[in-house]
Amino acid sequence: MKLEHTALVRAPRTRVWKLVTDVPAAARCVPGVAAVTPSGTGKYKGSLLVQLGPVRLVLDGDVALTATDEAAGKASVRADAKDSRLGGTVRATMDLTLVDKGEDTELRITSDVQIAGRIGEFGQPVIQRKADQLMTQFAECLARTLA
Amino acid sequence: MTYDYHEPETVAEALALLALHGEDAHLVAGATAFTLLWRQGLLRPGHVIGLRRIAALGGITSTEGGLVIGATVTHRAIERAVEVGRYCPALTRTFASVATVRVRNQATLGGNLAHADPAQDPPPMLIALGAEVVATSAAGERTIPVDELFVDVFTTSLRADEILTAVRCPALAPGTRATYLKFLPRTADDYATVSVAATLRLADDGHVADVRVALGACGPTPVRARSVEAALRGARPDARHIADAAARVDADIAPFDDVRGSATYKRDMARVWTERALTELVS
Amino acid sequence: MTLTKPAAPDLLETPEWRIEGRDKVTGAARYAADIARPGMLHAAFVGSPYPHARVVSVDAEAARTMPGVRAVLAGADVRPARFGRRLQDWPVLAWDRVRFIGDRVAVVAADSLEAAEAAAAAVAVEYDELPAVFDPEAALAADAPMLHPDAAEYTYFGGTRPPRGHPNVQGHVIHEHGDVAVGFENAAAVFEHEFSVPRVHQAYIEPRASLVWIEGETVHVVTTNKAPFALREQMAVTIGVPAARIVVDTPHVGGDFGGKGLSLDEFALYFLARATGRPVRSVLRYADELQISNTRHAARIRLRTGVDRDGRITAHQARVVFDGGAYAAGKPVAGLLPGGPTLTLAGYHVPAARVEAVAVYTNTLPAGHARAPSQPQLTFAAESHLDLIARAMQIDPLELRERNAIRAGETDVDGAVWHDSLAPRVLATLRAASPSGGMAARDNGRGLAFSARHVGRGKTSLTLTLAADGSIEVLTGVADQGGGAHTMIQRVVARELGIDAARVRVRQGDTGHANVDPGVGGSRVTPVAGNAALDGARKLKARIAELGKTLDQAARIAAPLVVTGEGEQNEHLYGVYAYSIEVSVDRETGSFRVVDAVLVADVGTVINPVAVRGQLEGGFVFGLGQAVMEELHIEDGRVTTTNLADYKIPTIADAPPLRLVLITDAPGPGPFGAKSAGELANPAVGAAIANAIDAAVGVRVMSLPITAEKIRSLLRTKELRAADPE
Repeated sequence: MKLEHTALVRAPRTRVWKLVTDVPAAARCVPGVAAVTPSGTGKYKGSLLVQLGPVRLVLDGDVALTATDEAAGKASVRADAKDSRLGGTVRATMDLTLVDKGEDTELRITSDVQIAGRIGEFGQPVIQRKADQLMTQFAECLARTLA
Repeated sequence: MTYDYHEPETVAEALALLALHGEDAHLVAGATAFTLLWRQGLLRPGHVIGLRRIAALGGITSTEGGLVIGATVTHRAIERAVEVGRYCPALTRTFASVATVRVRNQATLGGNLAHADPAQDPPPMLIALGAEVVATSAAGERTIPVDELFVDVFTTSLRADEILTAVRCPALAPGTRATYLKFLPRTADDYATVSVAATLRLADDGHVADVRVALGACGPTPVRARSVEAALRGARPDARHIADAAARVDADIAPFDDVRGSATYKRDMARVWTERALTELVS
Repeated sequence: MTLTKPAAPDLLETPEWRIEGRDKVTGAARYAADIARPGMLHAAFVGSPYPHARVVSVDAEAARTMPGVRAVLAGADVRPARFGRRLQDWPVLAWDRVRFIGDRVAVVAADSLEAAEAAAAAVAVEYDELPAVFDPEAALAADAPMLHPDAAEYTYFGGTRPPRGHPNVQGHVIHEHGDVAVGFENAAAVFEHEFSVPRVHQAYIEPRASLVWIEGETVHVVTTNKAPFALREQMAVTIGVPAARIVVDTPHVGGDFGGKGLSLDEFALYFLARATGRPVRSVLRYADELQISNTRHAARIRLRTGVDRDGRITAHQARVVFDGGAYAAGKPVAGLLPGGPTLTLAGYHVPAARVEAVAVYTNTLPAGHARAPSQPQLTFAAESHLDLIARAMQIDPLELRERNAIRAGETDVDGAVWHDSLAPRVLATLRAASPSGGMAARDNGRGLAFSARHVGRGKTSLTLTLAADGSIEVLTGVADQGGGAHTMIQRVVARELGIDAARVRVRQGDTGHANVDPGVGGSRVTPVAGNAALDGARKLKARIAELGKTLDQAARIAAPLVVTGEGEQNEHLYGVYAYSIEVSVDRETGSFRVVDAVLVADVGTVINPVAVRGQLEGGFVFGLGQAVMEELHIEDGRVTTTNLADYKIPTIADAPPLRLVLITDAPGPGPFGAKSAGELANPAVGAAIANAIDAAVGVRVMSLPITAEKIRSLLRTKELRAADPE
């Protein structure tokens, strides 16, 4: 599923860039994320708790910064996670683009989220909505953090 | 995969179990929704607390024109209760339109509301009737309008230490009419593509004195169509006013695409069925 | 006045008692998933989350040490075992490459299903993702990702696999007869339309289930497969055990609808049984039925037809592209296309035709056979196409069909000459049975659809034993998947011998006991197994006559008297049928109701009167589901309708009234003149409804399912265009 989000951050591009490419710091803006620890250059391990009504997912996995181009204001993040208790995987690729808007910066996030296994059987509209919520909260939190 | 099954006989015992097991506990009554999620492997509680043996949660009582329905009363019992039919025939029809007889014999009112499925039938009707739920915790009771119970898909405003114990339907002003329309374009055995519940009362001069409209399957929660209500309240309920009011439903809903239709189609159908519901109530 | 004793009614005119009916309604009937063995283990599979990927590594260490786990196998443990009905292209467990989401890479056997599932979730698989292709047309591009680079290694049953123009082709066929170019030149008008039909599932109640154990040198298989002998042959190649040492037993089958000819789990269960020395059982979760089993092929169908001034077909051209999914394993017929892939205008006289059909590999769940393979797709397209032609030519749709319906001596779309044809009679009967005059309401409309389906072909044999008590036992390898096969066999034998049906017992033997049988499918059972039953009864009669005794006397002196009944049916014949369906459309919502339906069907002599109605009424409702509501939604290779709450099928509350008009006096090649009925009712429902909707409100739905939303959207476009012609 493909999702698009945009947020206006009241901070210059360099500051926004610094935050979004600092994976552990940026991850603090995703609700439900527990400890993110480095596991190699540009690679991290982390876990995300997602509550879908009564269903609780615990997604453990890897996050990697797969591409960065500061001049163009573009970064790509890939996350691969698994819920080994319920059975199921989530993988997400996020392309972030920063665009100067005077003193502010527009943050655009294009993400592609794929959910497989049991957790994918919960009902795609519900999952899609949850993923959309998470990304909205992420973008809003980034904007808030830097404001 | 197993869990411990508890059958408390009082609300206090149930609350104590809930306090003891916390997040590892799951409340059930008819367990229809729970069983589906459990069999899919999506729920794995260590403790399941069954509420069906708590006598205080059963029964339907008429109260000065209103109605109190216990949380563990089944859909079928509500559908068949003389008191419910006397209170509001549309409420009887709403419960009769849920799933199949087998499911209705098992599923309960409290379970239905606590599960917070946005496509369920009773919530819009209860919202249109102005009903409220009673939430009980160790600290006591509080009431939540059904309108404010639903927060998100499968999520309510009930706190983790609360049990939904009853639903109170208020007395309806004389002359109030009610309806529930469920749009099922695929099969009779389906969730609604959209559903509309409405109550309406005309003043002596023929203008709309009171109107409440609520929709199901039109977003993450059942929703009250306040824009529609505002447009119609005090108006003459002719075809043009009803059509104009129904068109405003667009501002009240946030449907999403699913196998029952695209968001665009659901918006269109929300308008059509709101108009049909209101037309039925003034004819 | 003389009183005459009324003649005993013909057994065939008496409604039948289903042999297995009592067991089924009392719950005594046992299905594969009910059968357990001492010490039995449960299996759970690990499926790929990617539509196309290389399998880099499988780490099962954690899973192996979990409680209750007896074995964990991965691709490397079963390599090079692949399975399939005609082409064995599906790895039992993928060792180097996964080709669709859910493709299996590992399997666990454990003491309980829960333990097996927990261990399966703990298997860590590393993948390297490959570019995937989901659209069959895109898969035929020169630079498309190739799914099966190892195709040369695959076993193909019955000769050599036909050559293919592109590595992603499963099967490809072009039929051509007559001078198509001249036919189009001579046409007064040429029409071209494109239609599409989605993936649908057979949606039987009983999911696939199997149990495998090894006893000495013999591999025992209990399965839901409706063709146990064919499974035995496939399995012999897959697991490398001679067929003579495999015994396949199919108990009651809880619905098939064409899907249960392909086995999925049995092969992996064999490897688990071998590894553990224990029986191993697997019951497919319904979510997996909808995500990994063999569905009906989605199809895109382009039709081009030339007609003369009177609407008579002069030439026909078609291209049919079937989405075959990741494996061709589910297709049993030579050529690796769903059966009858070129029969677009079945039942019509087509003097010149060129029909091309291709089934293509994509990174989606595999497609296989479903009730009347190819026909629902092709009939929806062809009968919609003809209606559009009738409309454009201003010819009454029934009249157009009557002009083109095939007559004796004419050539059909497949280039075959029909020596006899019931097509005109079926249409005349439909005309008589359809109400004439206007519609009951403004937004009502009537549509029709006509087609033909082959009478099943094949060969089988069964054994009849006359016992001392005068009863007869028939031993057959035919599995009864719910169609009434065993009751049919019983009644054919009883009628021929002039005895009460209750005296004939039908016992289904496993592959170690019964005679070889090709399995249920292709409308084969009544004409083929029925003929075997008739032959057996006649042989028994002859033996009794040789003895110069009555049946009861012969039973006492000569029992057990054993004969083998042989049955064969090789004629290329068709059963013809036509629908007329009236719908009532709600313009504001696009929803509609079927208010009247008539089906005229040429079924030949009826053996089981209740079952024939059941097959036709059930086929109508089955066809209705696929016409108006069923669709397996697939996004980027992922099935998103993973349960029967989202994948809806009709319930009895949705079944509209159906008037059946049976033509039974034109004998067919089966016993006493029987034909086939099982696949006559479902294929044409979609077209009849699309045609009725066009007649009612003037919009044309070109794809299945015909949903309210599609109709509403077309009506809206039409309203907008009417309001603003610019």
